Amino acid sequence: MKLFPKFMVLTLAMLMLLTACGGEKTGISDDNSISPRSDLVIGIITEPTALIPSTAASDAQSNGRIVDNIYEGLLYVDESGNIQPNIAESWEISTDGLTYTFRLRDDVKFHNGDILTAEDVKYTFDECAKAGYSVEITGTFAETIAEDDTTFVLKLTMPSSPMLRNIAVARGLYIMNKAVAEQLGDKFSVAPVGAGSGPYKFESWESGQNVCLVSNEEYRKGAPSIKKVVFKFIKEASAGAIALETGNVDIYGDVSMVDVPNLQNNKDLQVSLIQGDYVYYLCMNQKKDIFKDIRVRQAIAYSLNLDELIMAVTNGIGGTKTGSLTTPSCFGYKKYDPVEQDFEKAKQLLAEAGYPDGITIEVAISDGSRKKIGETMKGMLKNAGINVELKGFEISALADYCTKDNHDIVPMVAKGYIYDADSELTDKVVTGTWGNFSRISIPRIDELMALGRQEPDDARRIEMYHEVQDIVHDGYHIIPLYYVNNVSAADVKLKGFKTRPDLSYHVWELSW
Amino acid sequence: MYRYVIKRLLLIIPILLGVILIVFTIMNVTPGDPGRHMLGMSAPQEAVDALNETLGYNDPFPVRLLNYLKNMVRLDFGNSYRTKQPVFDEIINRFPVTFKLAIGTMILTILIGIPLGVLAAVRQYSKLDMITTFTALLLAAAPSFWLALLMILLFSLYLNILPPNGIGSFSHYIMPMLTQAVVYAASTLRMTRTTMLEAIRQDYVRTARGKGASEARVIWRHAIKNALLPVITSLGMSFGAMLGGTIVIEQVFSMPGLGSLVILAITTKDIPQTMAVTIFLATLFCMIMLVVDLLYAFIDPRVKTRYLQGRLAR
Repeated sequence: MKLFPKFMVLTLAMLMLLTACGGEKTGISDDNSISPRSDLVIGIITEPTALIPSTAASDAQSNGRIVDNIYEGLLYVDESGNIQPNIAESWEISTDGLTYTFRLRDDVKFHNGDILTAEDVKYTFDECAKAGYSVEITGTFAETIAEDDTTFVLKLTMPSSPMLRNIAVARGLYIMNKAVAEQLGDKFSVAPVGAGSGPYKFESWESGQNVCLVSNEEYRKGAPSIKKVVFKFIKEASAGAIALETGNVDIYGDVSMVDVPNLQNNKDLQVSLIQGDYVYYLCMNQKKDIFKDIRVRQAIAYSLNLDELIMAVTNGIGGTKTGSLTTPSCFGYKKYDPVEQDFEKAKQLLAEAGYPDGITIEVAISDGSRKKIGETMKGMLKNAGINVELKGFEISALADYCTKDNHDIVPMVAKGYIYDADSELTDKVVTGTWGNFSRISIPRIDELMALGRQEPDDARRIEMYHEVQDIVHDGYHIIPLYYVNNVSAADVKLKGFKTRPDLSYHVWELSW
Repeated sequence: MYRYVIKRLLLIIPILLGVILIVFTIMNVTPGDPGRHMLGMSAPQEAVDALNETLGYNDPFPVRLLNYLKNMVRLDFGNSYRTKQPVFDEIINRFPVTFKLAIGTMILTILIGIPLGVLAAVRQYSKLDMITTFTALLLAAAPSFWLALLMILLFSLYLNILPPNGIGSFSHYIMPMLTQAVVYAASTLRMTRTTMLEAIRQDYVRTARGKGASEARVIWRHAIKNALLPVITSLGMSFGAMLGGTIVIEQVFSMPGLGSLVILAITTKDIPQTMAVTIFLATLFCMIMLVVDLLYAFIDPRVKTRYLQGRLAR
């Protein structure tokens, strides 16, 4: 029986035709056989929003990963945590701590060939302050002066001990080419051609597909070994793991914890798992009467089992439990152990606080880890007579809800990348700061944090930060949960690869 | 006929207005703001406020709506909050990907769905009928992201014959097309089977057999014409849905199409971009439905007569 007549043949022909039309090239080769390779494909889960350093957006992981390779700062922090000269070859701080004078190298070239001068530095610092990058960093800027081509002076309104470290670490202060930035205008954030002085030049951004960088052959520290790097957007973590296994990408740093054992068993891949810089903690809104009572806060802490929580939220390998708010690599870190789960004690504490029949509280959550934390807490707290109602939001609505003090409890996550207790603690514990969702208001803490910022002596600063952390810890003002473990995987042949604490990539340190 | 087309084209305007009002309102009254989305959860509130101000998001809602409509009349759809570029630039860049995907899916859907549907009807209750109907039900029920991941596992990882993501060459499109097509083909198959069963029981089919036409001719020339009418409507709607609804497929296969654009725009609260994509898709959908209705006239002489009568009556 003739069951496939002409129109079927016709449609088949049309499909063939489509095949012929579809063969356009994007310039990215999937061919891995050429040796030695000089290109690198990095899979990233989120498309960047802007490739401009001066806004707070540059600290978003997806932006920062790329921005790090294009731009560089006046100073940088080396592997052992010391501040090193970079664009600035030397610096002086006046005795009153208010004037910073930086001597710039005269041989730093932007990607378009322009020489980097103090004018560019001034422009960068001004833009950063204008964009509201970070009040902790730019809030004390009084004046920026470009004295001559190689001398930049920063004046502050008050002494700030962490300032040098802030300048070394903050992405917002990566130096931008003033001429290019002004000429590009709105195009700057999506196509910063010639705007940076780092080891890689911006080449292209194919919306929805990839960002492509090429090596800066005239980089003053030597041309990088990888000549072309493509940041490819792979929006699904399991698809990313498969892309890694098939060699479609060389590095993937957004691996789902579920896929880790599988990748570790693959001989062609190297998997690097480290304790990261992000810490999850519970904020209990002390503007609500119920949380003004330390016994209620204590009861919640005693109801939690962090090992089980980490198991439930991150498959057991994605977190390291902690009782500290600061990260171990942070200046002023103090180690605390989380309390052991004890339901009887929790019930007793609640009864003492006047709630013998238990309480009902609300936990505000958003998608992802917060949701899992909320769900796990609900199960645990129930055993102590605390009834949890979960309230779900999408992320910016959650921020809005909490900014208006509507929340009871909200799990928060903060990064500690500046490695100074000043920035790691301020936004969590000082009265009136935006990130203080526990609404802690303790004059002694405010006083210590303000003093710490101005104290030139390191040992005294550490003492002050330890006292702040003692107050927060002993008063159960915030319950730290766990440090997020970072994992990324790469082709086993890639040299110099390791997971970085903030999941960024220093492509110039890699080679085949 | 022309009057009819013009009338239908004019009808698009109130539909679009409705769509604009609904989507704009939803985007604006839902909590959350673009500044917070772009800067992240840990950014200070001051920076967020400053960004919202520059985006013009701080005006009251009625003002924003009015401004939007005013600009729209002048065909100015604004710049994306995220990229700061005109919104239609991005749509023009991305539309070809979605369009190719939809066309390919459509062809595969027709190639798989209709012949199998006809076969299942002609051999009703045979083993072939049971197997295809069962498979169709199973595939129609399977979530497409799951199918997509299974396909990537099979074709990329184990067999290593197809690339797992991207849009570099045609081979990149095969899996996304197939994944989408099986879902649509399954429903097309079911529908073709039903309408075909109805058609082959009609008198004119018996007449065709009676005058000695071969079985193939009876099925493929006589019966199928009547059976395909409702299928075409459903395929037309599917095509519209494919153009707008490939979000899941585009995410899993990392394809830069309209679906992934709209999801990106919504998650970053990029209102101008979301609006532009919505308006674009709504217009396109209306056009497709118009074309489908006109196709009817060519396939079914009865409908054509009705158009002509309508004109004579006036």
